[in-house]
Amino acid sequence: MSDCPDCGCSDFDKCLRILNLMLDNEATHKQEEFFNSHIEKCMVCFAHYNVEKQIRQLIKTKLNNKSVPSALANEIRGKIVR
Amino acid sequence: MANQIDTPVKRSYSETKKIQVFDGEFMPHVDSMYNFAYRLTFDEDDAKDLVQDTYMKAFRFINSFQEGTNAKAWLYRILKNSFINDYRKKSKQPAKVDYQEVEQFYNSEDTPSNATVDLRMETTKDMIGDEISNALNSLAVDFRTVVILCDLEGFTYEEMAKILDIPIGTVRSRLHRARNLLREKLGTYALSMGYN
Repeated sequence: MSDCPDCGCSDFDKCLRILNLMLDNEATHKQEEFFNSHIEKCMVCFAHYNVEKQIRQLIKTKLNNKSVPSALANEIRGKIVR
Repeated sequence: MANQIDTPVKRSYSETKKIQVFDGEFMPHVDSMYNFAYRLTFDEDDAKDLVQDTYMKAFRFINSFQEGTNAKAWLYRILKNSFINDYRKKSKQPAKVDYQEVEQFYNSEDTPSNATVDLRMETTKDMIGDEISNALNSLAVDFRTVVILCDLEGFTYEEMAKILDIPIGTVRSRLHRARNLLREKLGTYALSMGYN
């Protein structure tokens, strides 16, 4: 357990944990309420929240996809239907 | 979420029905399965083999699959297990890159001309993509996997727990660790991109 370097709230780790749950859509309603009111007064957690959100966004939208070998689907199907 | 992952129920599809289920529910996921396989193995041939094995297994056990449930989660589970059981055993260095081969390729006189074109056409998106890919690929496979399942494929923690056969608490902590590592690698970069 460590103090939040900005607002001095007693449990920074807890904030980070909830922050991750929120961004993964896994937080409970209560956790969401807590966090939303928390980031209004804690700049550090607010900044963390935005960085984490941005990273997820980058992974979701910017990751290069491998082009799938065009024959793959047919090869698979060929092995099924003989 | 798919019940079939918890309690496999045996049913008996006709041969025609099997093909129909296979085409309708499994085949649409080939592309994302291939990309997942590639991100586990970093090798095109291995990725291809892994996807083929996965689909062969899925077909063999198609009677355990209930139509209309989460086919994608089921396929991911099969692929992940094949990777652990078959692929990892075969290869002692799953992430090896033959640098000499890469070097030879780029220095070679008879490099196909389209390779040069590809390089020229590399867009900003590709470069950003490379940066993100490198960060993701540098994570240990267990961490990489949870990030792929969560961020790219949008599986819930519960689905991930079933796919990976680990408790939900482990999913949570593994993701948390993975996120910390990604933030170390991409945090500054994410900041420079601005908040959207």
